Amino acid sequence: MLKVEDLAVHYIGRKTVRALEEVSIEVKKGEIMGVVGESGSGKTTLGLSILKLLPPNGRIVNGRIYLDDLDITSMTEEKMREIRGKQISMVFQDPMTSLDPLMSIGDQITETITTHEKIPKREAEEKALSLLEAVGISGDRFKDFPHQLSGGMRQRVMIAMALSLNPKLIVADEPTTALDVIVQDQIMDLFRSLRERFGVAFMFISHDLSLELEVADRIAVMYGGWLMELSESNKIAEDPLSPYTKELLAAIPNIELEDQKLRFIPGNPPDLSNPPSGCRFHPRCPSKMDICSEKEPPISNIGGRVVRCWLYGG
Amino acid sequence: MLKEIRSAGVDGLMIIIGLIIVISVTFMAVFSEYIAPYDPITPVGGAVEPPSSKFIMGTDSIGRDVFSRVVFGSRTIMFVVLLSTAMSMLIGIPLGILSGYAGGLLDRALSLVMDSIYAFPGLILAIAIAAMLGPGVYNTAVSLAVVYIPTYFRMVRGQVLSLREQLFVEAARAIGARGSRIMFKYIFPNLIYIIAVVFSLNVADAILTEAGLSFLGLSVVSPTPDWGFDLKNGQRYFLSGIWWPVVFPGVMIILLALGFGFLGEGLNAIMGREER
Amino acid sequence: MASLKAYIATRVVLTVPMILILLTLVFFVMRVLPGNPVIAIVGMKASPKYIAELEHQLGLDKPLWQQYLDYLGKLIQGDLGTSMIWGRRPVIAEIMDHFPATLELTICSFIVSIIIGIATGMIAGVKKGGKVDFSMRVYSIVAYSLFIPWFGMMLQLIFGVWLNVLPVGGRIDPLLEPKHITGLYIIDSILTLNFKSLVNALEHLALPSLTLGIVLSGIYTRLVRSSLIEVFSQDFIRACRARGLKTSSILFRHGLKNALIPILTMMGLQFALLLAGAVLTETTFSWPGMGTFLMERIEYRDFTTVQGTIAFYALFVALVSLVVDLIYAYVDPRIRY
Repeated sequence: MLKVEDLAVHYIGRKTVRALEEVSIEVKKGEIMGVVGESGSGKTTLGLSILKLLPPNGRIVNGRIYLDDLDITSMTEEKMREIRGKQISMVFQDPMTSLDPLMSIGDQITETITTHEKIPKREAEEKALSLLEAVGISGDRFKDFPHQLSGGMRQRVMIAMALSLNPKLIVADEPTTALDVIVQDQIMDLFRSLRERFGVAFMFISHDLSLELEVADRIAVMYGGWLMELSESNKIAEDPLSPYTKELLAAIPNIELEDQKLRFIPGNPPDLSNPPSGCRFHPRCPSKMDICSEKEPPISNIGGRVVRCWLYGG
Repeated sequence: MLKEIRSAGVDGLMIIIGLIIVISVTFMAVFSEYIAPYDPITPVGGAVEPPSSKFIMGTDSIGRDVFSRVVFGSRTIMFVVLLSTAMSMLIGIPLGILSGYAGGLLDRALSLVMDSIYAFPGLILAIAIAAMLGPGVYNTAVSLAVVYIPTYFRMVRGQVLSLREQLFVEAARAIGARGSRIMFKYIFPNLIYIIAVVFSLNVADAILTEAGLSFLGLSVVSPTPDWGFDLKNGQRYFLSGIWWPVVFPGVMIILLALGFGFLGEGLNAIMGREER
Repeated sequence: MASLKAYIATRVVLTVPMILILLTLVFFVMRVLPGNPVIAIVGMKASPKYIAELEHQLGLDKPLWQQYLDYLGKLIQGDLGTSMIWGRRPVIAEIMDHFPATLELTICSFIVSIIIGIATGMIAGVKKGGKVDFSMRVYSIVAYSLFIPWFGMMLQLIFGVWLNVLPVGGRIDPLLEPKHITGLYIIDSILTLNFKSLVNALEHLALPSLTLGIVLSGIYTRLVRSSLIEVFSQDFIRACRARGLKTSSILFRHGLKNALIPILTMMGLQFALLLAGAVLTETTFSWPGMGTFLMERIEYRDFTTVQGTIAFYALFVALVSLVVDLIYAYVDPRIRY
């Protein structure tokens, strides 16, 4: 349904930051695709690129994005506006700054609907009401204002808005990072139930691999603007291919093991205005070989799993 | 603090310009005798002589040197404004601390009184008081002082209220720091910054209010040199082309108000950034 | 809207002590402060008998607390006192002669200041952090520092003398005064279809409103800017775009309402500034409003009128403050407690 082919995105400035390079991802209909990585890995850039919401200094310098065979890479802003909210929508990390404090939540959802569909206000309001209930908010809170809701509820409102026109894909960029763990679980359940009920696909962007393992069908692991691995989530848990994925898994705290020291990956994410030579992960990779610092590893496909590492390439 | 100012870019520029203006005028006020060429209250030339090499800002309607009056006028306005500010702070700040700390009925009553005064048009209140007290430098200072007491009250009270709740005060107490230590190490630095901002902006306002009182004839006694007062005297002949008795004192009022205004605004912007 | 009703009730109730405090303040300033107001009025040279007579007339021989109660009692009945000079007219009547002029000036200046303030504030808020933002901030400081009499005189010089397109003083040419219905010349001349009067009244309003309006616009710049920055963060605009909204509709539907909020918040305070600024504006432009009236009576030592006028200001400010708060509560749902 959504196809990203060989995408490269740069942020132009005094120093040009090569935020994404040679990234190819496919999201199938109704799939929950997890995109995981540290900060600076390019995961947010990927999400923004799909909706063409990059900041003014961000450019797609290579690659294509297809939505159901429609090439949206160089689409005009006019045409893109019709797609945003209607075919692809996005949910951001902080729901408070995404909502107008002076408008009731019901009205804001209605606004999204009437922007795209020429239906009478009454009808739109009814739709908004049913959407609120679909995300687990009682209908009599329709007239409430954002400040009257908790963080988790506000995020549900954002999800309701994203869902309002039955899009094919909802890109969720760190939707639960600002919320506590119990609410996190609730939102994850919500994603699953919405997928069941409406058949909508999710691109779930996060830095939390454990969360993604719980809910995603497939997971794309990103590092330094590269796609390091892309597999089904159960395969990633059992048999990770990329050394980076292995490190991420090892860093997840396990409540059942005793005497466990918190593991982390030493070193810092790469400076993307001046990336390391060869493989971008080599300065921190425990399985580093000589070739890793000399030449960039190719993207390999191993039985349907994508991995970018010299251990599998050549 | 200086390090922060230098790295602050445009806000730093504002502070520097403000400081230059304020310091220059203060200098003028302190050393008036050495800067002014003539005695400001004695006629030294013909009436309304245009600016010349002899009188660089010309003479006023009685033949006094405008430049000398401008120089000495800085002393009058600075004295009145700073005196009144000191009085406002002396009453407003302790009351604010008391009200903020005590809370309860006392706080609500005091706040209501202060809010009411604050809501009333400042200049008009000053006019009423000045009219009843009569002219004079000290009376004018009192009129201004009353108007600005609520400003300092509210500022300090707000600070006390928020700082009392601040996590770091609780944290400090949790690690056993004594009350006075908390005050000095944590509360004071924040307070000083805010006092500087409110002070600057307030003085800017007070300057304009004092000038307003003078313009209305309610502040100083003739022949005391005062910018607003001179402006009033010059108003009569202004439209017939005699611009110098009006323009120069007027520009000084604006300049001094700007100086304090820039200072306050610049400090405020930096403080806002620090808080993030 | 039950919470709104509760809020209205609370605000109205709170206004009463505020008025009381203000009136007490006025009493304190006018009666207690000067010691013996009679001497302040007639001077030391008057005969003791005359002084005593006057004191009796003004009720100054009664104990202070009784004077206070009398004063409040009269005010509740709407009696602001009687003038001590000339025709001994009730103060309230004299105030009403001059009030419309001030009202008209105040409203026009307010409109000017809002237009400039919103425009500059929106520009500064949307283009946050750049040179444009900085110059708007500088503008707001400079505008407020423009000493009203000086600024007014400069405008008089430029437009009244050099360009000779606008009158420099007064409210209207004597022969063109429209028929008195409300006292507001603009409304009266429209109602009586007297367009010559309308034009003339507007010409006279132009410079004073511009003067006061520009000086006060700076405050709105700052308010609008910070309110917009708060709500109109990059995140908000991006989230709206992600829903497919057009930037222009974002600006108007969401931005304008949020920009108006701080203006409403401060409007009570701004109104006080308007009234204060009006006094200086009126004296500069010989505008026959309450400002000139007050100054005139101070000069004539018409003590009772001065007291009544200040009391009137207090009541008026309290009332406007209340109305503004109510409007604000209606528009912004966040502050209803």
